[in-house]
Amino acid sequence: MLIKSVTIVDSTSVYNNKVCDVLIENGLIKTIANTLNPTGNLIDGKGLYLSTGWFDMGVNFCDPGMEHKEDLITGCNAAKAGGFTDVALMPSTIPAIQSKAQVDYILSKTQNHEVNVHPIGAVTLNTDGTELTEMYDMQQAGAVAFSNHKNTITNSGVMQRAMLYIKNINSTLLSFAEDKSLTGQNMVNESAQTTMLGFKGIPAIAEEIMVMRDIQLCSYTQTPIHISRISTAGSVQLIAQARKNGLPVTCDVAAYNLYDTDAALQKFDSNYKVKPPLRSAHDVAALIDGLVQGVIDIIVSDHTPQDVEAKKVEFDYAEFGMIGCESFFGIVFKCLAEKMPLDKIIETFTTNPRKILKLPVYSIAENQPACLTLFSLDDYCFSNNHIQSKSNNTPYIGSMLKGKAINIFTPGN
Amino acid sequence: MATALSVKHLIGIKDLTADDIELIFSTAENFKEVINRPIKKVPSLRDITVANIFFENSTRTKLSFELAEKRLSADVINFSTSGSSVSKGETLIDTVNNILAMKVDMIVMRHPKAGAPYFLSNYVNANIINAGDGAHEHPTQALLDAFSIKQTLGDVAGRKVVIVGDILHSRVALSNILCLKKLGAEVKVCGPLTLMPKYIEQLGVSIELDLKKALQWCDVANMLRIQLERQDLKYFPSLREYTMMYGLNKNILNQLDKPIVIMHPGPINRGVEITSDVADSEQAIILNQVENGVAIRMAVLYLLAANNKN
Repeated sequence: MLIKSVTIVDSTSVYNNKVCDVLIENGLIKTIANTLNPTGNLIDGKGLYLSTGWFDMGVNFCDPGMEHKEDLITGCNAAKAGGFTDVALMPSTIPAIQSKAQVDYILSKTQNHEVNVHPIGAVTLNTDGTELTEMYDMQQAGAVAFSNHKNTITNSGVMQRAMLYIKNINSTLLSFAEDKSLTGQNMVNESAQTTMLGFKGIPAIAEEIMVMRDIQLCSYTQTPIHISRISTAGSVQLIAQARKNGLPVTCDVAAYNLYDTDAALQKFDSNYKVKPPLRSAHDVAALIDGLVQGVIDIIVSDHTPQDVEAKKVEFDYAEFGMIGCESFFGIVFKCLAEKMPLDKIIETFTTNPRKILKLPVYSIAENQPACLTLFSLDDYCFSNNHIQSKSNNTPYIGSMLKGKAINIFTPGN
Repeated sequence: MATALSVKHLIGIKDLTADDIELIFSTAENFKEVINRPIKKVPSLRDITVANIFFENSTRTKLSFELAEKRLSADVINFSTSGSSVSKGETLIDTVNNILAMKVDMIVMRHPKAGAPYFLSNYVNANIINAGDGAHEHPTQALLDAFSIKQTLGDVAGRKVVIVGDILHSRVALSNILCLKKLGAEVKVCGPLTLMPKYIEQLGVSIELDLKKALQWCDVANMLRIQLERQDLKYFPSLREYTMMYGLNKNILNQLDKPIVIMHPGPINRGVEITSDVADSEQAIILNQVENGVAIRMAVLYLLAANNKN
């Protein structure tokens, strides 16, 4: 396979920003040169860009348990359509991924798909925050990290022991920061915007109090912690300060929290009902600045399929979440094109997740594994035709987005 | 002045212009004259079918709408169900489909969840009038309250209005704030901080925690009902203590420098937010509000229907 005249985007590569021909053979990048003679399959890469394979560190594929919303294969198809060679699967299944057998199930179901699936195991049984799971056993089977998805471990003692245990097995703990006693039954950001809609709102401090707790535990246990889906200016500030103090705190943000504010809720469109909730313009600006400053390491899609019955209802009755794999790059690049260099944007969903999950980091160089994403930066109208997920709960159908994946290449395919 | 409303539905005061509100008021004045005649019925809505769909209990709002519809000669159908039997929105969708099949022209809906009328407006072609959705809006209540102030004091602009009670769970408070601000009144909210939305001041109102100071300041006090059914948590220790701090009684009224107008959207918890001697006093215009409610609802129905003909 030869990709002709493609622009390389990889800050670790000597070919970064150069237009090259890239020859892929037997799952490896065989040769990179100004011009190569075409042999075999040929892709015209003129006007296109090539980076190492994109990695979505937060997707929900609903399998097992809610296969009517998504299954492992349709989820992988959605990831491929979004340009992801790799996804890390949240344990948001029914039951939660909490045993070796369940990790095996995911890996065996997806082993023939081009997209590499990395299971994340639950930290505590049924993600209810009390008893630790057999994490070592799951890790041996292939679990790359541990998380209770969006069920915050509210018991600080359990959290402390989880951190120490995960440090023990050299894995990674992903923590979702939410003080549920402050969130209550509320569904949207607490702001003047949502007061106008008659909603009580989730205050920013519901997240920030837990970010503070996690930072304190990180300091006390001297154990790395990764905070998933931060959404407020205060969280960015807290994590920036913790890092200044030398603490091993990393974090990620969902693409929708960069793209939309709570102003999008005006018509009560349940596709905008997400967790963490869409925040204020001030928060969005702080999150983008956090990415520019390198305080936020990773952007994820937080792909959360919901069937029509879970969304075509009154706002209160709708489930949280939107699908995100397919529209991911289109909205991320649209938000960040003017703020960050392209190679730095790409790092947030290539090298950074791989580093945090302690997976091999690839680069575009000869004899490296051919784990690659080919993409364009063109504007286009996002439509149903772009969606490979079983569900189509996204507010972005009909929106003009900027940039999309053209193809992925993974070793062995 | 405008001769037609700028909206197809009346979902919230936030969608209305000041001109819309003035048009509703002037139309309501005419209808108020009509309903005080010996023959109270006019043919304005003949051949128009109105469905009153109530997913939440209501007595006076439902009666008021039904009376308004009948005095305009509309054909009226009623559908009520308690919140408990509404499971996951199925009822609303199914009801919508039934309504479509029955060729209903206008829908008056009350629903326990905020935004339900917006949801409905995506799926039906009929005019929708929001009769209260969760803690979001109750536009006809706000219109009749402002109309009652205008009828009692001559105008709304420049008047000082305090809204007392559970601001956090009140659609009446939100719609009233928006309506009164659009008409140029000054608005304060008064009540326990646990029942005060954090960002309420960004809506252009100020907070007064002391009931007596609030009453001393105002021309009109609108005493809200405590919405125990909408409180998912305990926001104050007891009704007894709430009444000690925010209950309005004759003794407090007598200590004020000037007489103020007392309003209440009903139903009154007598002895909680307001004592009987205040509710039944000459300063209270609670029953005028009820009468004006019919006139305002007639005006809204009439103007929305008129828009369809144009």
